[in-house]
Order: sequence, then C-alpha cells, then structure tokens
Amino acid sequence: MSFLDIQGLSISFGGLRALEKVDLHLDEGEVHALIGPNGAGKTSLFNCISGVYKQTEGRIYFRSQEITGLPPHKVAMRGIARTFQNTELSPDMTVLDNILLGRHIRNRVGVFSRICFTASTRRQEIEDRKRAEEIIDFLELQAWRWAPVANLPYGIRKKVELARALVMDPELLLLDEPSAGMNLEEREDLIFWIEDIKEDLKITILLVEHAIQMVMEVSDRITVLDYGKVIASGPPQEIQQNPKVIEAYLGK
Amino acid sequence: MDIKTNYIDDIKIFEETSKLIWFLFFMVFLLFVPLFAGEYMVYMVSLTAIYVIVALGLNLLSGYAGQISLGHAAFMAIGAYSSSYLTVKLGLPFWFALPASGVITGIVGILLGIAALRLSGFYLAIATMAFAFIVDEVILNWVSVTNGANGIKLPGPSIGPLALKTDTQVYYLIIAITLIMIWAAKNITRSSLGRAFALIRDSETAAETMGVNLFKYKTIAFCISAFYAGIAGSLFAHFLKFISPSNFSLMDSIGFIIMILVGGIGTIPGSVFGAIFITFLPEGIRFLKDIFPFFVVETGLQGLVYGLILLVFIILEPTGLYGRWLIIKRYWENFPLK
Repeated sequence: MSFLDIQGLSISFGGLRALEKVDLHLDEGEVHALIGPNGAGKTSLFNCISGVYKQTEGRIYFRSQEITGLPPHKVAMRGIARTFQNTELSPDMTVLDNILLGRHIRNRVGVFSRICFTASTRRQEIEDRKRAEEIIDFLELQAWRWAPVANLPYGIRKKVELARALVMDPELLLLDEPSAGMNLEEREDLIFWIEDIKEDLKITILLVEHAIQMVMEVSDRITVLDYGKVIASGPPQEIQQNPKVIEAYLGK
Repeated sequence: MDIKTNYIDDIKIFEETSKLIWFLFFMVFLLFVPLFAGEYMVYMVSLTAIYVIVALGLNLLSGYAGQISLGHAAFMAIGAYSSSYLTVKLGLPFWFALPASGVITGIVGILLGIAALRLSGFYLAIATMAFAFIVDEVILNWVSVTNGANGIKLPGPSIGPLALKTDTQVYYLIIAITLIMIWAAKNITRSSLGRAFALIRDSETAAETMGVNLFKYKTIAFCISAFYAGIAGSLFAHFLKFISPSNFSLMDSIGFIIMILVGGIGTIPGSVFGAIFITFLPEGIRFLKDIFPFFVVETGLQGLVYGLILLVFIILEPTGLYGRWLIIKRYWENFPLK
C-alpha cells in the first residue's frame, strides 16, 4: 500500500457531487500536484483528508492505517499538516506566536504544569522556540518575527502559514494554493522551498495550485480533477499532452 | 532597551525591566495602602482585587478563547455559596474551603462548557445567561443550603488557627491570592495553552487542523475561568461576611464584561486596569458630585456613565486602557522620534 491511499472517495453537498469515486495514491517523498478548474473539488479533497469534511463514501489510508472519519486534531497527530487557501492565522498574535502554534501536537507537558509554568514547560517552550527559529531561518521570516500578522502583506502571511505547518514536523504536507497572493519573486522562492522541503526535510507534499508553470516545475506527478472526477494522473510531461486535460482547461 | 541573549528572556513574566519596575512600584503602593489610607479605602482595594480575579478568569475565557459568558456572576455565586456551605454547615476551615469552592465551580464550568460546546456568539451569550438564571433560582429555592433570599452569614477568613480579624489582615490575604491568580493567568498566556485558546478564538478550523482538540480545550477554558470566579466568590463571601442572591445579578455579569472591554480584552494587565476603573467609577462620580453639585444631581447617573463609557471605549479605544497605555509608553520610549 502506498504512503497515502485514497480509495473511491465521494462527497456530496445536498444534490451536488463534489467528489465522485476519487482514487489517489501518493508515494513517500514525492511532490504531487492536484490541479483542475475552479469547483473541481480540490479543496474538498483536502478537507476530507484532514478530517474537516466527512466523506459520503470511500476510505483514506495514511501509512497503511485508516484515517477515514478521524476528527481533524487526530489526523494532525498522525503527522498530516495543511495550509489554507485563504490564510487562517491569528491576526493579533505575532508571527512567532502563530508559528509556535504549529508545535501544539509536539507538546508533552500537561495542562496543570503549563498553568504553573514548571521547569518541564520551560524546556518545552525553549525546544519549540528552537524549532520555530529553524523554520523562520529556512523561510527567511526573520524580519517579521515580532510583527502582528494583521499588519503583514498577503504573501508573507502565506509564508507564515507554511512555517506553522512545517514546525509540526509533519510527514505529509497539504498545501492549498501556496502561491496565491504572492508576487513573482516570492513565487520563485516558493519553488525552491518546495524542493528543499522535499529534499532536506523529507516531507511528502500534496499541492493544490493554479499556477501551472510552477506545478510543472516542482511536481513529480500530477492528478487532474474535473467536476469531482479524476480525469488524468501521471508525470508532468504526460499531463501536458493529455487531450482530456487540454479539453477541461481550454474547452473543445 | 533590554537586549535579549537567549530564548528564556522571551518567556519571562516581565519581558522588559520597565514592566518589573512598574510592578514593584505598584506592589510597594499596595503594601502601604492600609498605613496611609482609611478603612474605606482598604475595603475598596480589597473589593477591587476580588473583581480582578473574576475579570482575569473572564478574560481568559472571552478575551483569549473567544467564548463569551454572561454567567460569571453566577459562577461567583457558586463559589461563594460553596464556601459558605463548607465553612458554616460543615465546619471546614477556610484554607480548605477556598480552593475547594474554586474546584466545585470549576466542575460546574466544565459541565456548562460541555453543554455549550457547539454554541458561539449570541447563542453562547444567551445560554450562559440562562445558566445564570437557573443558578439564581436554585439559590433562591435551595433554602437548606443557601438560606434563600434572606442571605447567609459567614465567618471571616482564617489561616489554620490564625483568624484574620482586622480588615487589613484580610486585605493582605486577598492581595496575595490575587497575585497568585495573576501569576497563573500570565503562565497560561505565555505557554502553549494560551496560544491554543487564541487560535480557537480566531479560527476553529485552523485550531483543529493544528491538532488542538476543540472539545478538550474549550472545556479547559470554561473550567479555568469558572475556577477563577469560584475563588473570587469564596473570597467575596468571607470578605463581606454576608452574601445574598442580590450580590450576584446579571448586572454584575455585565459589569465584568465591561471591565475586560474597558481594561483591554485579551490582556492580563487589561483585567487589572478594568477592574480598578469600574470599581472606583462610583467613587469618581461621587467625587464629581461634590465638586459640581448643580450639574451632577441625579442618583441614576451611575448607569448612564457606565453605558457612556462602554460606548466610548468600543467606538474609540477597542484595545482598552491597556492598549492606550502601550501607545503612550511607546511614544515616550521613542521620544522625540515618532
């Protein structure tokens, strides 16, 4: 069984079938892109994996263990992190505090110990801070560390969200349109970072993205969704030539 | 400007030396209050300190975790009546009754938290208000424990065999406990617990996908907040030595919300500032009355001023007194630069 295995996943909202019998397989260590026109069901698929939506049918396996129907916080505990299409950060908190939030699943200190701020809490906080600083260095967020998120440009917020997901030390990272709202320079950086996340941090990535150029550059394999169905799956060169994909994107 | 050389500096209680100096200054002031101020002043400061505890608890729940409560006077009542039952009826000592009433109230907080788990905003406000009405009815009708509308008399606080007789002694006890509660609140907000609360407030979806168990953490927030109110209630009961249902009305609950809004929502010093401001407000109005007897005559003035202050703060200064204080402080730190 592969790293992430989605079998026959369907979800409907009222009469609308957002996903229909979707099969998706991810190998460990790959960057897998999910593309498709607006409303194709890409974000719905993300929400099913991370437990925000409950699927109508189908099963999801992560590292050979079923995660179908687990609540989101348990999915996170298994090592699946995600970012959101429109950032979901705490606007009044600093960049650093937002990033530290990602360390929640790595916390081993009890509630009472945190209320008393015992030595173990102190150690945990320092450990979390160190990891957060490593990721801040990695994503070059040093200049923004103490800035409240509300004051930041959108591109930086996307980076903060990426950092928050990375400090979770996940095994699988779900990125929902990471380049949206970024300028050209930030997009180019993002391509390098995705490669570094894959190579250095050894994190498998599932990516929803509209910037086709970027998708072609970073992904090992691409799956194309249209009207909730998988219409093609394969390496970038193959997808580029696929007549069904060209039809879905450009029309007949 | 302090220069930080390691990460511990960022998680200290007083991140800046200036804060520590202000704090010490304030402590010295509190220490000497009974020496230079009259009995009435000692009474007022004690009362303020008790309200600081409630405001802290409410701020952790509403300001940090984003769960509004119109039931904090009821939590306080539960703490007060638990304490009275434990000391008067069961004859248990005060040092045991104080934390015990906090725990009892905390458990009630957990139950309310579980019941209100899926509610937010208006619905949560109504639910907590309904809870307060229920508590009120229970107090009025459970005469064997609460003595109904007639109220109940209590002994003053004691520590072991040492009974605290004078108001000054009780004053020091209340201040000490308030300090412990401030310390605990600060610990919550500087640890991952406070960050989890803040993310629940700002985005439940994000909190869940970051691994925050909403059920657990919302319940914890309610429990801690109720515990604070319970401790305050117990202190309140033994401080006044008499409690009746009229001490814990809906207006008091609203008063607590005004405290954190005026002081600064989502901040620890805000709870303190707000409690001081609101408790001393009637004094201020009385003071104005003495100076301008012709303009300030109506007795209903207090409610009007309450409402006016709330309006002004919500419209002009949503970060509260503490937010304003920070702005002024930053101005002088950077003076004459902008």
